[in-house]
Amino acid sequence: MPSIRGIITGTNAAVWRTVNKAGVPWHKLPGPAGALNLAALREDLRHDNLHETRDDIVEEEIADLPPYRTYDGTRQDPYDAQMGSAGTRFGRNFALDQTKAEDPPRLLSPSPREVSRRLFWRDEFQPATGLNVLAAAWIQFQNHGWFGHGTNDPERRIDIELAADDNWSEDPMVVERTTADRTQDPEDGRPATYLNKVTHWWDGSSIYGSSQDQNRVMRAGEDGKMLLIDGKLPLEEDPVLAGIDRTGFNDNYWVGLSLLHTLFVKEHNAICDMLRKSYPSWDDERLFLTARLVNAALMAKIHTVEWTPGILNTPVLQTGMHANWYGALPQWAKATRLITKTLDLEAGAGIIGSELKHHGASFAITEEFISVYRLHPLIPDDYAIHDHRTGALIEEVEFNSLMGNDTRAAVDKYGWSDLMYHFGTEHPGKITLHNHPRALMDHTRVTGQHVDLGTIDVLRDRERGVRRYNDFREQLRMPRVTSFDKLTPDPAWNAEIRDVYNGQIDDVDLQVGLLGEKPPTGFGFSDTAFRIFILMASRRLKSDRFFTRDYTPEIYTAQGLDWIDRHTMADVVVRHFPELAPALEGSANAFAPWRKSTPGGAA
Amino acid sequence: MVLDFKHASIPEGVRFTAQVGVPNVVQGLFRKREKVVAVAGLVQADQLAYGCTASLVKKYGPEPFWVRLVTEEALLVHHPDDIRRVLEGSPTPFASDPDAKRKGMSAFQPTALTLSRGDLWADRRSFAEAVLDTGRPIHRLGQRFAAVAVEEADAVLGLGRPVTWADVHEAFQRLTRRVVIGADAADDTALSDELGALMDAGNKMPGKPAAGYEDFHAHLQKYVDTPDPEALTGLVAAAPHTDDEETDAAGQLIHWLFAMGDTLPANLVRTLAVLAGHPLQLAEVRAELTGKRLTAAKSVAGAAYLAGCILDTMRLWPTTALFGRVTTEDVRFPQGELVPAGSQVLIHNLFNHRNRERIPYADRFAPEEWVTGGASDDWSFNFFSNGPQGCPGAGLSVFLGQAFLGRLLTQADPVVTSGPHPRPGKPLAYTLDLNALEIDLQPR
Ligand code: HEM
Ligand code: HEM
Ligand code: HEM
Repeated sequence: MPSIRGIITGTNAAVWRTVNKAGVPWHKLPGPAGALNLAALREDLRHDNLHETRDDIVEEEIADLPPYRTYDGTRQDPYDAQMGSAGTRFGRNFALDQTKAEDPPRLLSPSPREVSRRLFWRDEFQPATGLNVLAAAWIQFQNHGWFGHGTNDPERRIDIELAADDNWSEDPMVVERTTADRTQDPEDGRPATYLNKVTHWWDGSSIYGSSQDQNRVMRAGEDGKMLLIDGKLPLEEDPVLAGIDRTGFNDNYWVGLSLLHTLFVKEHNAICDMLRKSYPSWDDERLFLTARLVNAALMAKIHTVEWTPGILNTPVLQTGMHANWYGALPQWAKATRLITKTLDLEAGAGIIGSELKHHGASFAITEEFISVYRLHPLIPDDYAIHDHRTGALIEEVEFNSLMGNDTRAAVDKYGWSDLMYHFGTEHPGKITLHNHPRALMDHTRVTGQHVDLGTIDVLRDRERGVRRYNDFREQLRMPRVTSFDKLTPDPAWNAEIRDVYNGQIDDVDLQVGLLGEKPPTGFGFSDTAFRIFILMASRRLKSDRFFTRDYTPEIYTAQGLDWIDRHTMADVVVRHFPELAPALEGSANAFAPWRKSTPGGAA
Repeated sequence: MVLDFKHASIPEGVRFTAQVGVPNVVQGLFRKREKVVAVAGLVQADQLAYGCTASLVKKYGPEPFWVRLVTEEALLVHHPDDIRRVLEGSPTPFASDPDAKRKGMSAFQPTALTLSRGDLWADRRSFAEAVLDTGRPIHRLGQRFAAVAVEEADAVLGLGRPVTWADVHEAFQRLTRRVVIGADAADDTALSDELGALMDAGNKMPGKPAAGYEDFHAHLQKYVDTPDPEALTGLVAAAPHTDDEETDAAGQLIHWLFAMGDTLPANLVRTLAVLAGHPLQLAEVRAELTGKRLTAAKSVAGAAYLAGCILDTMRLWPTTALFGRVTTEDVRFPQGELVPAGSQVLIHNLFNHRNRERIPYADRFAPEEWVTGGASDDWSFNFFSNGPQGCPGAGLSVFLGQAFLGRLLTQADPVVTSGPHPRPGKPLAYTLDLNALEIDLQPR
């Protein structure tokens, strides 16, 4: 028998399908209608775009469900102990027969290197003026808590022939393949799957790590705290990782990540202090585990109600994302809230504290989700560091002296305050074509590998069987783009794309389509990417016991819930960098540019 | 966007003002108004005050929170870590001269140490510490002071009738004049009366020296200029002071006179009443004093259990029920919360000392906690305040109390014949009304 909620949401979805077919996209509708349309889109996406890749599912009610987040992400789901844990498979948003890897020659056609050179090269920095660089570092920081394919496989390489005019350091360009999933039976005939080296859950694993062993060495050993030495994270001991913080996830490390990892380790320790005041008898472990719950939820809240509306700046989304966290109803409508909650209408009551639900497939980050988060154009090449008090220029530096093994030296040289000030006041790159950071198209990893990240962004999708742009849209029930003229708002770009793809519109790569597409008004990225995003962003909350049925004072403590509720990103920054309070004054969103001090004048 | 502590609601502020603020002002004045205190005792004002703060703390948790006191929001700090932060940060950035206190006290001691800030405070503080021997185990003149205390105790014993607060108060005024000023002032009751009148004037919070202050100051100055080597005036010349204007030695004496002459005996009479109802503890005190000569400073100071009795009485019924600080600059607490310059910060001793959530012995008489327990290290207890601006006369106060009470208790059995009988067995009341007390000191 269909539930009342099923009938209501089902009807909503049917109505909007008709409206959207008539050619009116959700973002052209007035506020509340747009919000309901979004809810309907998400219903359809949940129904059609969650696909299981695992074959190790054992469903059995878990006795003694731990009242905290485990180190490796096991035993988080009440029935499926392995779900979401480190080392399990990425899921899929498309039916598995739509996830087959591309083989040569198609794998290399057109050359991903040429796509990168001709369509991604940053001629001139295009800024995203509504955002600050902190927003860029933030999303990389969050990504690292959700997914990672781990080290590539040096034994299995893809060679890319260079064009005649390309003077890359080696010919052919070599890209190592993604490490294969050894748990997969090569005979089962299904498309290749990959393993997530971190926990899939939104549990702060980027700072806490994804195993107990990894976590223990980062702990202070008392009062639940994480280790900080003179206010900085400990450094890695391995000489290859010299200058890089020892933290939960430190691949592709740079100053932007160091700022955020350190900030949220400090926040963790502040939460420990807060908890210890109320629970002086708790031991190190209990304080740690509870503080982690609170800190992870605070990050999730900041991401949901601050970062997301920052990058998707439209009234519908402001309400929509608030609805994800708090519910759309004002706080005072307690009575109504109870009713909507009973009916499990998320749009009314919010996901937080609602019923735990996986919608058909076990919770896992998906390959398609990872693809839409390849937002490398966000990273600027040039960094002019200013004094946060006077606004005076200190030095202009390039990305390369702020990353990898130079990370710590840069932090020591410029200091947290001026670096954080830079990240708060300057713009990131716009997410579009011809805006990949030059530094990342000519990037030397700490391993010494020389890579063009533009090439890799394209090649990985093909390698991992993430569909090209038009097929990808079709899987999301969006219309195919039938003419090059309609790919981007820029005719010159459209001509370039036509040229690169030899007039074959269906060959256009996902990344090219996403970066070229004109985003809805106020959006920092495309509507196509957004479809994956609304599905997966709410799923990260809805599938997680600690954001749903266990988001309670018994698990988090009342003080913990209150901490999450009261604090914003600006609060976290000011708590640990009070000298930046003037820059944040009057700021409505810490991911929008902060107020600048002007040289010679007052702030 | 400002990181801030929570704010109690307006109705809560109204209640806090009525139940904590107002009673503290009407009772806690420079000279407790007898009638007011009695009435307040009847309506159990102290209990309401405890309950008010307790319910706010329960609601707002262990962090400090803002609560409206009359018209202005003040920050109430109650967790020992926060109290410590505030008191260790005195006088900068937490100055001890909130407006009301300054306005009231200026009437009779405009140059008071406790109203001073910055360099001036440091100057006056080092002067006070030098004379009061703050932090030393025994005051240089301890031997002499013990003898005075014993004599004054004997005077009380000699009354031959049940004693009242007024009797002890009178004896202590005399003791204070002898200890602070010297033999010449022993019978100068006019001096005490002058101070009393000025303090009454202070209750109107004039914000400037009251009429008669000049004469009173001159009166004191004369004594300072003819020091008695066996009293505190005898130590003034050798104590560091920059010049007469700044340090104002005579002006500093004023605080000592009322603290020793009024506050100290109030606490001692309560201790006597408590011991009268706690025979086990009384026996312990006597055991400790057996065979000791109370005119030997060392024996007096060594009576640790008796000291514990005095201290725990002060914990149970603090004479400073509520005190405060004012921020001299913007202050950030460790979690980043901003407390703007000029904010009042309150420490509610009456609540903190009895906080049942935190203190296992909250409502019983527990002198042993001061001898072997952790009470001395607990920042919840601030009847003498704490930190750099804590009471510099604390050691001397306890010492005088030990000598005085030691003498009474070795000579007599205290029996409460009228007024409150604090007894073990059930939680001790929040109020112990001095004016209602009558204690018979029956010779042993
Ligand atoms: C300092 C800046 C950055 C550097 C050095 C960097 C570098 C890299 C590298 C080397 C890879 C792996 C390529 C491979 O598959 O072999 C990668 C993958 C990726 N990057 Fe970045 N990146 C940076 C910033 C960002 C930002 C701001 C985002 C935005 C969300 C982002 C999103 C991704 C995603 C989604 C992947 C795919 C991860 C996977 O396959 O598991 N990166 N990046
Ligand atoms: C009309 C206003 C006030 C009056 C009449 C008053 C009353 C008193 C009294 C009676 C004393 C003497 C205690 C003693 O003998 O040691 C005193 C000292 C003190 N006053 Fe007030 N008070 C007033 C305002 C305040 C305020 C607003 C505060 C703080 C918020 C405050 C804090 C103190 C403190 C802490 C002492 C102890 C000083 C000491 O004993 O050495 N007073 N005040
Ligand atoms: C039982 C008796 C006493 C009690 C309960 C008491 C209590 C206090 C308290 C609570 C304060 C802190 C006031 C504030 O910071 O707001 C204080 C300060 C002070 N007390 Fe006492 N006191 C007593 C006896 C004495 C005696 C006997 C003297 C001097 C002989 C004295 C001299 C002072 C002075 C000078 C200050 C100001 C310290 C400063 O501001 O640096 N007190 N007292």
